[in-house]
Amino acid sequence: MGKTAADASLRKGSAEMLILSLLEERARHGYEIAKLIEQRSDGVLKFHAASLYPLLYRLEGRRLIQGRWVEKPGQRRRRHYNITAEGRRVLAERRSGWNTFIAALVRVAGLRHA
Amino acid sequence: MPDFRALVRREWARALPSDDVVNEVAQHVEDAWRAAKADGCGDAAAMARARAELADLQGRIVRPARSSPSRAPEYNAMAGTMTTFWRDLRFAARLIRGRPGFTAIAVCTLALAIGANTAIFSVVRSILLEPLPFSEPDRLVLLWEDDGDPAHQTIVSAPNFQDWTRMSRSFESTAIWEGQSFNLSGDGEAQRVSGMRVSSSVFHVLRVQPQLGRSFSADEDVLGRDRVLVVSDGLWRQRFGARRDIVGRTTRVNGVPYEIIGVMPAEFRFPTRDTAVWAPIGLNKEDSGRGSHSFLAAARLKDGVTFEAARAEMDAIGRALALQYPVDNRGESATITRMNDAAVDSLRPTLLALMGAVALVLAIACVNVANLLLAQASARRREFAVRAALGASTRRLASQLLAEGVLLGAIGGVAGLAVAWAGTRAFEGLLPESIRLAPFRDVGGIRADPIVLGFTLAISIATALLFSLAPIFNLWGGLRGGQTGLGLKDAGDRAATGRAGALRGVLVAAEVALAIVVLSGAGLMIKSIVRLLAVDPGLNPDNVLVMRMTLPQPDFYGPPVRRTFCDDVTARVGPLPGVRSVGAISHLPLSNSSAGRGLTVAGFTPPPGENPSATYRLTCPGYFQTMGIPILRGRDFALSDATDGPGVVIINELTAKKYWPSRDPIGQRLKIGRPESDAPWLTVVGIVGNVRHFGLDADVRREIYRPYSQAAWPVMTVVAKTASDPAGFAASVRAALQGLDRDLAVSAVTTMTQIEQMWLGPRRFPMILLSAFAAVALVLAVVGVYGVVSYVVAQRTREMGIRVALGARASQLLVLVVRGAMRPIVAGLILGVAGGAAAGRLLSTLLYQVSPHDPGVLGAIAGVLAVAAVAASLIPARRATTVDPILVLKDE
Repeated sequence: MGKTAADASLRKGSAEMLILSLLEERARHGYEIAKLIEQRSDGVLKFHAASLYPLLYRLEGRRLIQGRWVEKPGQRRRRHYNITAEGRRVLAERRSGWNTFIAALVRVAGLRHA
Repeated sequence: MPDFRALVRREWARALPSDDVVNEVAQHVEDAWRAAKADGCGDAAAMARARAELADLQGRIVRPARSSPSRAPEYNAMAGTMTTFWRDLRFAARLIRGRPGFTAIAVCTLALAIGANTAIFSVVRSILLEPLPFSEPDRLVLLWEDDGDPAHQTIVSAPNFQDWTRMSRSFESTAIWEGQSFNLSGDGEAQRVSGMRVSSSVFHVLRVQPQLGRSFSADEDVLGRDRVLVVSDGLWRQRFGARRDIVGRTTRVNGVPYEIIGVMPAEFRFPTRDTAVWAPIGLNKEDSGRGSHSFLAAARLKDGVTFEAARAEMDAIGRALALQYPVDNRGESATITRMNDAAVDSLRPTLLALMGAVALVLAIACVNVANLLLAQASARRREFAVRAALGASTRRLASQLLAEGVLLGAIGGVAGLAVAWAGTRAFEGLLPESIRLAPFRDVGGIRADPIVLGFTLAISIATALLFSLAPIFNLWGGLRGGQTGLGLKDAGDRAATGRAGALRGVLVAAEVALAIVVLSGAGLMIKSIVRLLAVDPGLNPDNVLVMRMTLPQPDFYGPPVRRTFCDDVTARVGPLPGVRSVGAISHLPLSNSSAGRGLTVAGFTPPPGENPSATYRLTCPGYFQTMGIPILRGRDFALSDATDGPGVVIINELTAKKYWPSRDPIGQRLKIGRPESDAPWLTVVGIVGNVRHFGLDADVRREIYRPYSQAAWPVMTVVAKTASDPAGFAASVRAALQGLDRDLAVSAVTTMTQIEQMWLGPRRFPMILLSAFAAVALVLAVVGVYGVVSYVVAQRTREMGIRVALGARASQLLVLVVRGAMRPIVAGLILGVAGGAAAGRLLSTLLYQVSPHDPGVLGAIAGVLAVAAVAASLIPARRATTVDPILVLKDE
């Protein structure tokens, strides 16, 4: 059940940061976000629609991201999410917080980046 | 391609997302499905992956604030708990809506049980729980003469009452009254109503004022000034059209003009709700005998005087009067009882038995709904496991289950109230007179007041808590047992055997046991009624038409004012087509009326301390033949037994055996009253069979009959034996009697069979209700057993398939399933029989010649239930034998 534990910790603190950083690159739709998280973590982190969309709506509610329906020729209507200026600011803040935290962990526990 | 939008809507029904959300998530699910197909999955596997995307979504879209597991302590503050519970309730509401079949069964079960409880409670409350509807009712007492027998009190003679009033210091006011029927005429059709002769103080004792006009003044108590009348609200509306100018109007009462001076309030019940008029008591010569006990008396205690003190004082006064009047008051004393307790003692066993039975039915309903919820909870085990894995605490999940229970209970409660109200009329019709007309009280009707609503609310919630316990207990056990993993493929199988299985067994046993208790109560009552019906009443009630006539008569002892009454009845009714014979009597058997007389029997010396006596009735010639009462020796009265002729009397068999044990009573003499009285000697001319005048369950008493022509009574009941259904002859007989005199009211037209039924009513009432409850209990128990066994069989389908594959025969599987089901049933049977025997003891006062532990009844009931339970388990058991092993194993 290691996966479950990782899921939990992910959801607890860092899920918002993960999404924001994925959207920092470019606008994406929900399924794409979920797949990217799963792929980039080698399947350790996995979002179901069930937990992903509430998170997206919450971020949208806090105006950190903005969703809009996009219709491309030959494709279905999909909702794409962009990061907002406020989102970028929060992401930067979190990153510096994480960096400080990881630096501290490295100093205290002697962790090394892989 | 599957319709993913529909899928999302279905799975997320409780989240009620917007169209946009559904579209977006459906797209996501579709993407997952396509990816799975691309990976080479089959349709089913792809669909499973698509569904998995929705698995832990339940309820989280709309309020995603708690997407992280909520172990955070700040969420458990009280306010948080309440909003959480509110959310649980809304969630439960959606769940309940989503399962209409389950909900309908559960709510119907609860509504019936709660409705029945509400209806019975309303009656119990107005009789047992509520004080009388008078001001400071605990200060009201009834006064009685006390002959030392604790089993009963004796009604009061007017001189004794007057002495008590004069001598006592405990009472603020005292009152005396006597029930009497009145003939109203003069305006409109002659009408017979029941009423009271009351002392003017009665309204003062009760502290009730008329809504219109005034009540009696003290000087109207005196004979001659008593031509005034107070009427009930009901009579005022029905007979006088609710005219406000009624006060001061004159109406004819028993042929004499009376002035109407007041109208009582609608809620005034004195002593029962069918009492329509009150007239002043106008004590006459007849009433002035100290030995003439014919009145009821009440008093209001002075403020600060205790009941015990007043009783002690009355006892002392009664003893003093016994010394002062050694003939009439010999060995007597006086006592009081609380007015609040009047008639309550005799009704309590019936009411408590019904309350108990209806509570048992509710308990069975509870067990049934618990079973349903348990099955549901097992089916939802995976959902709970997922939620637990996502961090929902056991408390949260329990709270969810509780919310569902409370909601079901609340709906059941509301529906129960509706059932109770809708059934009010039918229920009131079922109430026997002894309950409907309980003295001083207003019984019947289910009032929508805070107490009834509160009671219904309380039992609904108690019920909900009870039936929610089972699934919560089950959930607790399941989660503690470490079955919280996401997989839980085996959850279903374990449900059949593990903790849930044990719980189900307990529920089945409880259900069977409770049902036996209710059924055995009903069985005992039915056997009791059958025994009663087998009693020979001493008369033949078939095809006997009955109607009452009032014959105004100032002097009860005769001679009659209407000397030719019997001749007239014989002459007018006898020749009517279809009338076989006709007669009349002063006190009809089973009519709750009687009179008794002390006797002096020539040649019989009573043992010391015993005074010869017999119940006393007057008849017209033809009465015995009409009623099918055999004349064993001698003759019936004849028209020749004239008023001025020699006095004659007919006695019953018991009187003959008692006073002339070794002689032929015919030709012997007796007289009414003491040896020194100047009453005329009467010659015995006939002996008739014993009649169970006071009821089929009452002992036969000594009876003497006198001819109406030589005595008199103000009310006579005419009986006519008809060739066929007596109802068809009622109109012609009535017309013939009315031809006698326009001012004589003919009333209470009925048949002897109906009177017998009316007498049986109060005894039949608990039997009918108990039987109805028993039927409900039986159905619920059978449904419960069926449900549980079906569920267990469904859960064990795989096991059955394997057994079939390994060569088990159908009969072996059948035995396996039924044996498994029988264990809790047998346990329930044993418990139920023990409980039934214990409950039977509570019914013992309602039973007639049936032991509360009657082994026949208990055995039969246990047998019925055992057969029903086995039958209920056979149906699903047969299903188990038809399992196709290939299908089951393919599923692996």
